[in-house]
Amino acid sequence: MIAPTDIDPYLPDYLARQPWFAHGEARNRTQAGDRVDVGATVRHLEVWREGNPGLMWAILDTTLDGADVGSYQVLIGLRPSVPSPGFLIGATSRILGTLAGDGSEWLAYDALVDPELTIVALAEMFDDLHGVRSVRKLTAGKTSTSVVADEAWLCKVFRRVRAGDNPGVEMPAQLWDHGFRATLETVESWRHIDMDLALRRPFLPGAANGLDLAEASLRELFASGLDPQLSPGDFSAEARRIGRMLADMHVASEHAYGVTSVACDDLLSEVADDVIALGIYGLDPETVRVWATRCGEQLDDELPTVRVHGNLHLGQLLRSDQGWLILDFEGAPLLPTAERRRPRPGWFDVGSMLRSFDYVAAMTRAARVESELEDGAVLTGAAMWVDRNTRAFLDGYRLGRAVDAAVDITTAVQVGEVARAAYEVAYERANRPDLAAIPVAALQRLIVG
Amino acid sequence: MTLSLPARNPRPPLDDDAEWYRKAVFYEVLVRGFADLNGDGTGELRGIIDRLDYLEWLGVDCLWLLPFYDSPLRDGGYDIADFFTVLPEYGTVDDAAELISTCHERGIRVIADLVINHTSDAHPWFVESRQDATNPKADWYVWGDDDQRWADVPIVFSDTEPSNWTWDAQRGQYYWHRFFHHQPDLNYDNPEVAEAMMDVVRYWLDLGLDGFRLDAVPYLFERDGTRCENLPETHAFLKRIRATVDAEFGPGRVLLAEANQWPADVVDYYGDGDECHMCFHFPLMPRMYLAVRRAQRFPITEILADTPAIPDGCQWGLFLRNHDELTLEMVTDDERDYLYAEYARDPRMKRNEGIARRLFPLLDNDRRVAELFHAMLFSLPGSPVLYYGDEIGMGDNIYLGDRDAVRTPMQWSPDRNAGFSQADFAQLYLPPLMDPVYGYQANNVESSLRDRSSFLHWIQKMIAIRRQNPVFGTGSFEVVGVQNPAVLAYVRRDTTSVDGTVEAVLCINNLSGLAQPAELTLGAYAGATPVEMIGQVPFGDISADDPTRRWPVTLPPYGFFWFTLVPESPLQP
Repeated sequence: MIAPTDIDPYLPDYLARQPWFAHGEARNRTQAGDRVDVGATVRHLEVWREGNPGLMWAILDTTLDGADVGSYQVLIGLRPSVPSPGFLIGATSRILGTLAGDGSEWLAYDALVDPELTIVALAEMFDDLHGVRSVRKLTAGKTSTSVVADEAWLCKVFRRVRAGDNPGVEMPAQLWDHGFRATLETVESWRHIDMDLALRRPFLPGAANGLDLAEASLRELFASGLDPQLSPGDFSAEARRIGRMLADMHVASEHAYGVTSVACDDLLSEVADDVIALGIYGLDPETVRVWATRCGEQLDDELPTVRVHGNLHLGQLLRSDQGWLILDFEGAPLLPTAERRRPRPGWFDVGSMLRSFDYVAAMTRAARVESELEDGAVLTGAAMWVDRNTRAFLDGYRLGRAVDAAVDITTAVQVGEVARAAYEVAYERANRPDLAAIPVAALQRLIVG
Repeated sequence: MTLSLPARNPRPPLDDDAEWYRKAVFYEVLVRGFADLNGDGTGELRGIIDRLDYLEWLGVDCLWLLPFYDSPLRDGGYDIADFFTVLPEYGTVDDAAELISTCHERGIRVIADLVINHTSDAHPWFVESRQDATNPKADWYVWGDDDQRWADVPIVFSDTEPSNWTWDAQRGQYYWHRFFHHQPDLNYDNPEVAEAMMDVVRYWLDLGLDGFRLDAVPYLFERDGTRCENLPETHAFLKRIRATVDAEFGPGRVLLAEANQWPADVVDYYGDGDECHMCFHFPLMPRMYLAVRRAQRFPITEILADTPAIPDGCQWGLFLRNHDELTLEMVTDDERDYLYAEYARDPRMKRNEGIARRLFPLLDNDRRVAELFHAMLFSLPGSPVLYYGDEIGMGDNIYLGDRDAVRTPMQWSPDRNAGFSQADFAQLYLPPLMDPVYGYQANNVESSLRDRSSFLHWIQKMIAIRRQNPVFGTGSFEVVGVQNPAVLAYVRRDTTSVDGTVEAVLCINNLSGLAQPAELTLGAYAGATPVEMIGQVPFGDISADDPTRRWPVTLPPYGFFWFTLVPESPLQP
C-alpha cells in the first residue's frame, strides 16, 4: 500500500507543470528551460478511497522561488502502473510519478483525468451527486478544473484556494439573490475546512463560448470580404445583448453591494502609475500624466463605484438559449482577493469588454497569412468589426443602465480600457510574451492617439 | 401535358393511420396557379387532377388547397362569397369530389383552406346584414356605432388598412374587420353563426376532405380590454369544431391552425389534445434565415427552447415559405430591421410586416443553402409543408401587387406560358416568370426532371428518405452539445410500438458558408455506428471505451448530414 506521505517528493515537480499553479508562471519557465524552485507542504490530507484505484485529497501550501504563492487543492489517483491506464495517454503532465509499494509499482496522477475516480470525488464533494454515470473533463482553466457530470452538471473544482469566501462563489450568489439571472445558478457549493472548494452548476450542452462566436464572426467577415454590416456572421446583435447583460449585472451589483465613490484624481494617478510602471516605448511618465490630467478635466471629481466583475472578456461569457451568461466571477487572477473586491467604476468592466473585442480581432487577424494582410482588407475589416461591435455593445449597455449624464462616457470608457490594457500587458508578459504586443499597441493608441 | 417521370413503384393506397399527419409531407397548391386545362388563363381543380402523376412521383402525402370557394378574389380567395360552391373558374363541387377521390386512390390526402373568421362583403350573409339593424342576419357580423372600440388592436394589413373599422353608409354603422375592409368579421357570439359554420365543416368532410387548414383562427371573438386575440371563447369554439369532427367523422381528419403567434400562445390551440391537431410554427421560419445570416445556431435553438411541449397526437407544421409574405411579426424589432436589411434590400420586397419573396431569391439562388434549409425543414420536429414551385427553385416577381409576387403560374415546361396554360398570354391571371435566372425557359419541371442532378431530384429523394424513417415525424428532439456555434446538431429518437426497439437519427447542420469542424457529445450512443442516410455509408464508431471522447465530423460549407445511429446492441428506451 502507498502511504500518503510517499507522494510528497513528487509534488513540487508536479505543481510546476500545471497551468493553474501560480498563474502558469512556473510551467512557462520550465518549458523555456529555466530552473524553478517550487515548495509544497501538505496542510490537509484525506484518503477518500483505499485500494485500487486509490484516491487522496489534499490542500497544499506552496512557494515559488521561496515566495509564498498560496494554497492549492489537489486530487491524487493511484493505480498499478501495469497495465497503463488509457486515460493517461497524452496526459503525462498530469502524472506525479511512479511509486513502489505492495511489491508492485503504482502510478500517482491527477485524479480528475480518471473518470472512475472523478465520480468518486464528485460524490465526496456534493451531496446530490451520487450515482453519476459519466464524467468529462473540460480544458483546465487558470484557477480551476471543470468536469461535466452526466452531461447535466458542470462541476468546478477550484485549484487555488483561500480561507474564507471565494469571490467566484460569493459574488454570483449575491447577484442571483438580487435578480441577476445571466449566470449559471450555483446549485450546490462544497465548503470544507473554511474554504470554498468546488461548485456545482447546471451544464448547458447547447451553449457556446463567447470567444468562439466572436472568432467565427471574424472568419466569416474575412472570407466574405464585405463590410461587417453586410457580411454573414454579424456579431453586433450579440454585442448589444452582452452590453445589456453587463448593465443588468451592474444594477444588481449596486443593489447587492451598494454604491461607493472614489476621488477621480486618485483613480487616474493609480491608472497612470500602472501604465508608467510598464515602461512602454513612447509612454514616458510625462506623456501618461498629461493624458491622465486631460481625462480628469472631462470627469467629475468624485466618481461612483460598484463591485465590478473585474475580469470580463469574451472567454468568460457563454451564449446559451437563455441569452448570454457570465461563467465565473473570480476576478483578475493576478490580483489578491481584497483587491478583486475593491469597488471600481462600472465602466472598468465596459472598458474591459471593449479590450476583448480588440483582442479577438487582433488574434484572429494575426492568424491570417501574410499576403492577405498586405492587401489591407483584413486589417480594415477587423477595425470595422471592432468599431461596429463596440457601438452595439455600448448601445446595449446604455439601454440597461442610465449612465450619469455628467460623466463623459467616451473618456470614462477610455480610462477603463487603459486600466485593463495595463493589466493585460503585465499578464501577457508573465504568461504569453508573444501576445504582449496587442495590449501594448492598444495603450499607445489610447494614450498617445 | 405529359411529363416523362422516372419509373417507380406506385404508392400504396391510403392507410388507416389516424395520426398520418404527424409523418406526412404537405404540399401547398395554389389552385389558380397550378395547371389550366381549359385554356381560360386560370388554373382549376381538374388541372391538379391532371398533374397528380407528378405529385405522386414527388412523394408528397397531403395536398393543401388554397381557397377554391366562390369569391370576388380580392384577397386570393380568402374572401369567400359562398362556402358551398366552387369558384366557377376553378370548377365545380363535383370536380372537388373527383380530385379528392383520385388523390385517395393514389394514397394522397387532401385538406383545404377554410376561412372562418370572416367572409367577403359580397357574401349574401353580409349583403343581408348590412341592410339595416333589424334583419335576420343583422347580428351575424360585428357592428358598432363608432370606430373607437378596441382601438389598441393591431392592424394586420398595415400597408393598406388605416383601421380595423370601416363605415357602412347603407346601415349607418361601422363594421369590424381584422383583415381587409372587404372582409367583415363574423360575429361568433351569435350561436346561429357558429352553427352555420359547423354546417360548412360537415359539408366538405362529407365530400371526403381529410381536414382543414383553418385560416386566421386567433381572431374569432372580440372582448373589451384585450387585443381580441387568443381569447378563451375562441378556444372553446375550436374545441367544439374538433368534437363535432371526431364524433361525426371519426379519427383521421385533421385541423391545422394558422395562428401567427408566439409558441407559448400557439400551444393553446392544441388544447389538451382536444382542439387543433396541428399548428404552424411561425417564429421558427424567420429564425432559420437569421441563423444562416449570422452563421450561428442560437436564433433556432432559442425559439425551440421557448417552444413548449405539445399534447400527444399533436404536431407542428413547419414551412420555409408559403403563399403569404415571409412574416416578421414574430421577431423582435431589431431582428426585423436586420432581416429587412438582409433579405429585402429593395423596398418593393416589403409587404406589411414581412418580405414578399420566394425561397430561392431569398437565398440568393444558392442551391447549397436551399438544401440545408430543406434538410432542417425535414428533420426539425414537425411536419414539413412545401410551397408549390419551391421544389424547382421558382423565383418571384416583386413588381406584382400585394402577395402576387409569390403566386405566379407553376412552371411546367419551356413551352408557351410555361406549360401552365394554352390561353393567350394576356389572358393569364398573372404573367409567368420570364427573367433569365428564374424564368420558365430555364427553370421548369420538365427540364428539372431531365437533369438528374437538379434540385427537384434531390428533394424527391429526401422526401423518400423521410418517408422511410417515421422518426422524423414522431421522434423526440434532443439538442446535441457542440462547441462550434455555427453547427446545429440534434438527435430525433423514437421507440417503435412494434417491438420496442429504438430508432435514433442524428442530424448535423452547418449554418456557415465556411467549412466547419464539429465534435459531438454523444455519450448516450457510445458504441453506435453512425450510418449516413443518403448513401448508407458507415462512419467511424462513437467511442465506447472512453465516454469523454467526442465524435468528430467535418462539414462542408452549408453542409448537413443525416445519420442513423446503429447501435452495437439495441438501444435502451
